[in-house]
Amino acid sequence: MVVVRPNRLFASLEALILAGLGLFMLTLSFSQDYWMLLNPKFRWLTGSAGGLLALCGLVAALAAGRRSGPLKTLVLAALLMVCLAWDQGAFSQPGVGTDAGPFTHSQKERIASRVTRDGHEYIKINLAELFVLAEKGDQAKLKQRYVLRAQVVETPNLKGKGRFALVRLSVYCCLADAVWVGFLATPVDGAFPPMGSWVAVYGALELRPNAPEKSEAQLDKRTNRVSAINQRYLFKADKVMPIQPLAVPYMFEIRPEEPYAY
Amino acid sequence: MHEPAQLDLFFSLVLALFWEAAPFLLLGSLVGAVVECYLSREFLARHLPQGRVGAVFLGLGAGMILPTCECGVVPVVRRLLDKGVPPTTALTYMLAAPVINPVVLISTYVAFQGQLSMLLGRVVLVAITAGAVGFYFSRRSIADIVRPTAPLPGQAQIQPLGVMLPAEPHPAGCECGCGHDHTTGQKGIKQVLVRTAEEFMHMSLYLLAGALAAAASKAFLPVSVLTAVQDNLLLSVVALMALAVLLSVCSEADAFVAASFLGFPPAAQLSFIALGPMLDLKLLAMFGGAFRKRVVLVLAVLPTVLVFVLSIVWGWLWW
Repeated sequence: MVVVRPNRLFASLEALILAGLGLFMLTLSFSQDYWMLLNPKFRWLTGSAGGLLALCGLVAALAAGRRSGPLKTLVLAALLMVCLAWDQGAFSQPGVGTDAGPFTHSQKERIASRVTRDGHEYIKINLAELFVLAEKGDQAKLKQRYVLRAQVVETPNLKGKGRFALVRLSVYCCLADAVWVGFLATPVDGAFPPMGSWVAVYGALELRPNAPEKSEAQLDKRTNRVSAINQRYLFKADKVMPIQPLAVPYMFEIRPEEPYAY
Repeated sequence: MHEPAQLDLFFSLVLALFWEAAPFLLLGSLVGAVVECYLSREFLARHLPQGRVGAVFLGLGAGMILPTCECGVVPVVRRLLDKGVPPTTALTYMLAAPVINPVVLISTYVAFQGQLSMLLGRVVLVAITAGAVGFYFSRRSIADIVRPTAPLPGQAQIQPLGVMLPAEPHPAGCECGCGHDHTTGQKGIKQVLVRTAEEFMHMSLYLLAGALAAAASKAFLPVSVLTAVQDNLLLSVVALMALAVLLSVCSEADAFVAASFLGFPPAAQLSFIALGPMLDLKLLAMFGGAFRKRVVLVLAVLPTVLVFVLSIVWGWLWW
């Protein structure tokens, strides 16, 4: 067995790599692609921790008397390289959002919370907010008309029943706790939007006859993602408009009142 | 649907899990370093309760007023044990703190839309389990619990590369090459930062191992099989407990994930949010970096059994 005694070189190297990881965190907190991993509301936390980690790494690199072995150094170096590789890949992706910076206000405050189309007023809402609203059962709110943005999911079974699903990924803290949230919807004039396309759907909730007492959680077989599709209500569409894929497709915020996060 | 390809998803999940946990691990390392540098054994010996029941309640109380995420609590507890805090208090605190703190309680309340039964059920299950685990270790010495590589006064250390080295604190520049603590008893911001860096580097390796395992579970395992058992109380509890261990979701977010399992019985949802913060793949790896194998085994088995039994009882009594 080859025994490599811990020495100062490895200790300094691993501390510098740690500082590098801290700097990566700091950069990540300002990155436009932060949302791909974490809920943007945690930018400040990632940035602050990154700064502190970088400082700890630099101080440890300069501290006398530290020793370390190669294993820890190699693992930390590999982690830093994966982070940098991911960072480059993420930055090279087209169509990412421009709502960057750790301390910027969200876009929702800057847009109107309602829109009028064909003589009807629709409240802008996201699928997770509508899901919570439906679960709470507030009748006054359930009777309102809403517009939401979602991706279309079609299956032969759903299509046979004259329905398609509207889904969007809801992220609470990070990608690991992401849940697909959605509703079944009815097409307008029998026209089904293409599978996987992004749509803005105008319509209202409609109580399903013989609907199960509670919504059913479904686990998506294709993505292994937990999904929650509301089974009590259908989203009866008045209008389905194709839209460009959202720059930030995940839902990070669930507001109980207007203006909704949309 | 908008989602990375499977391998990209795996790497994204690893990074998401690691960078989500990293600030909390850093905070835990910082608190541990402050404990190491500023909290004396004598002070703790004077002020900590001697009885086992008092030690359990101290651990639970500390969990409420010193909220620590599950990723950050392990280094804190390791340092507390190093300082002579009784295992009963330290381990009760370790398991309870990620759940019975105000932030997590509020998130649970919000996620379950004001269902007090879920909130109280979570607190009671975790408090009983954490207390029982603490009680189990009440007769054990600290040396029986902490892994030898963690510095323990008077004990030889086994380095990862198989080199046996002395562990008595000794001055810097000794050329012993042991790589461990030369700074015990030294104070100052610089020492705190160095100790924080060392603790973070040590525990981050285990966090990374846990994140890899959890990401692999999430990206590649067919979890759709779980829907088949959602109508059976016993099997659904087992299924969501297994999912809690595999997914390794943060305790502040797990209630929202559990609340999305609407087709599952509340007892199964409760088991998910009770077990996850005490035992998941990330934590298992970190336990392995801090504690002896036998302790890790108990930390895996005892909470699992207790949460299962208590969830079933809770399910029969209230639903």
